[in-house]
Amino acid sequence: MSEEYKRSHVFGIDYGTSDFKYGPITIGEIPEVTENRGYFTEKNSIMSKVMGVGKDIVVGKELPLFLESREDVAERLVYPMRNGIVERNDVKAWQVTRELTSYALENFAPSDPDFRGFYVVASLAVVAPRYMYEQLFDIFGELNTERTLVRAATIIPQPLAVAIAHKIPTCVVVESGHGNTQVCPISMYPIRNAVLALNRGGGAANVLTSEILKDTGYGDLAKEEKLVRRVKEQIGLLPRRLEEAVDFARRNPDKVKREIRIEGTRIKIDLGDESWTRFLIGEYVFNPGHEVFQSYFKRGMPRPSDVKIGDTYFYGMTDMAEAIIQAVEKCSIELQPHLFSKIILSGGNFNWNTPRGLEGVAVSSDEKIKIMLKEKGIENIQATVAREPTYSVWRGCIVYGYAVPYDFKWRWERMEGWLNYA
Amino acid sequence: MDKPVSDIKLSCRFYQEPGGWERVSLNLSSNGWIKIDRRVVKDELEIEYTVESIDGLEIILSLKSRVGFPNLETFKKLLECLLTDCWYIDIYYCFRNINVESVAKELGLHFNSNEVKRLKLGGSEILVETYPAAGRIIVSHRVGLRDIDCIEKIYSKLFRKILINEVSQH
Repeated sequence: MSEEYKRSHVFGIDYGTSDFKYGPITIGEIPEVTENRGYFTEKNSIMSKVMGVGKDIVVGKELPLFLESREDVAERLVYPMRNGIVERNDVKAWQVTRELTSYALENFAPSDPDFRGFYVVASLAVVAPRYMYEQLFDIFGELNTERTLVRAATIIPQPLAVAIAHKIPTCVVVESGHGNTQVCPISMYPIRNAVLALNRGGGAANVLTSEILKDTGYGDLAKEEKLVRRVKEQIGLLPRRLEEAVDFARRNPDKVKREIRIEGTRIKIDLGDESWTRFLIGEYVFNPGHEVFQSYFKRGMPRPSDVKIGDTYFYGMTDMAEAIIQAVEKCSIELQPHLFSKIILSGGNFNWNTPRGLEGVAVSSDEKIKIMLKEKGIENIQATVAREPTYSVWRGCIVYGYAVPYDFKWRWERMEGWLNYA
Repeated sequence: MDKPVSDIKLSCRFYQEPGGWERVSLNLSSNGWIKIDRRVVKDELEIEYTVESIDGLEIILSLKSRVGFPNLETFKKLLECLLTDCWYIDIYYCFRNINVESVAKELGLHFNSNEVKRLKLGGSEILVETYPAAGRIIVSHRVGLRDIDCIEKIYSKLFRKILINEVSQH
């Protein structure tokens, strides 16, 4: 097998807590995305037999077609990851992970005699324990029973994938997805004892958006998680400074007001006089400790809590700048200025834009983090949002797979190289 | 269905000695392209440098066009410019958000499986891959300075079919 074959058969998989992104090197810049979940069908039911449902687990785009009543969904719909971690003994969660991996590879495995399997680069949370690497490698091997889908595989931490995609060897990667946020200083390799994890991501902002919808008379819509996410993405704003933004919104209501329509339905949403709350959504991602959120917590909105999963603590309320400072200050003093001068913000939770007319009031994530760090006394900060941050981990997987020579064998002590299957 | 999109990847191979992004971007800059960090832009086209092989003999560039699919003349000029540095270029065109079924039918492919078909156009071998579950079609071929004219044939015989077929779908 040659280097040339490997380069055209690299396959990236980003195991996000909420979204699972996958695809081969040839598909361009945007991977396929499906939810990281699986539905256990009731194969013995008469309806399943009549309808010809032959699978034990359904994953991917056709999953919604199998959802039954809400009670059944709660029992059978399995989200395998929590904060990027699959529990070691959670059999169902590993079954879903296996099924999703198989689904991803089968989607793109060509029926061509020249195909000898993919060079798979999987990416896991930086806090993922070693048993997850071992189990994932086992899964890749098991998938080769009928035909060779995986020629070789490797696994890299998500923040490292982001650094690789940007070709920046010394930096801090803040990877914020749906469920959690990882702050990871990198100096060629992730500095593992400096990693800081937060128990919040885009999902937390969805919860707040849901509360805002309830308060503005859309309580019926607030229960639909997918709709809430779309509303958040369309109306959410990230304020430069919250007090100033709220003041601006109250003085200029027309500039902040926005009506959105939900495609394919008759639903229209307009926050009206409460349009200033649009700024709360972005602020909550960066600083849930702001006093403005106390009223929501008092009314029962769950506060992002500190949790321990495996050996890792995930902090709930630490603000984004404080998390970066704490992580960087665990590194050598000589390295710290270099880390502050290269901060990469990656993941869908950093996708904030400044609409026309709101320049100076609403900002992008990199501007926000610079302001927050400056207020805490950090100088010479350079922060950038990854281009299309939702996909930067997957892109890093592709770049890594392309660059690592095909004959570079996996070594557990360094956690790098290819584990060969065929 | 969303608007159809095409992503183009250019895998540029150098002959015997390492090339790299610096060399390629310098060459493009002297041909009117504007360099911005890891990107170069000209008219409706934007090229982003993705990765370089460890031996430096190959780099991958990602090409985007603001007008959807690059104009034939502009694209040909770009390839000619790149081929003054490169030995050959493997081009991958990935079409997504398209009706794979009707395009596959038009090209004489089965649409129920991930089929790979090899076509001969203008003396070049073209690989057409259909991935119905992902709604994507990937077309790839190799081009060097001597066979650059095959691009015209590929555009007129293949992409017109894919793109016109798409236009009629929307």
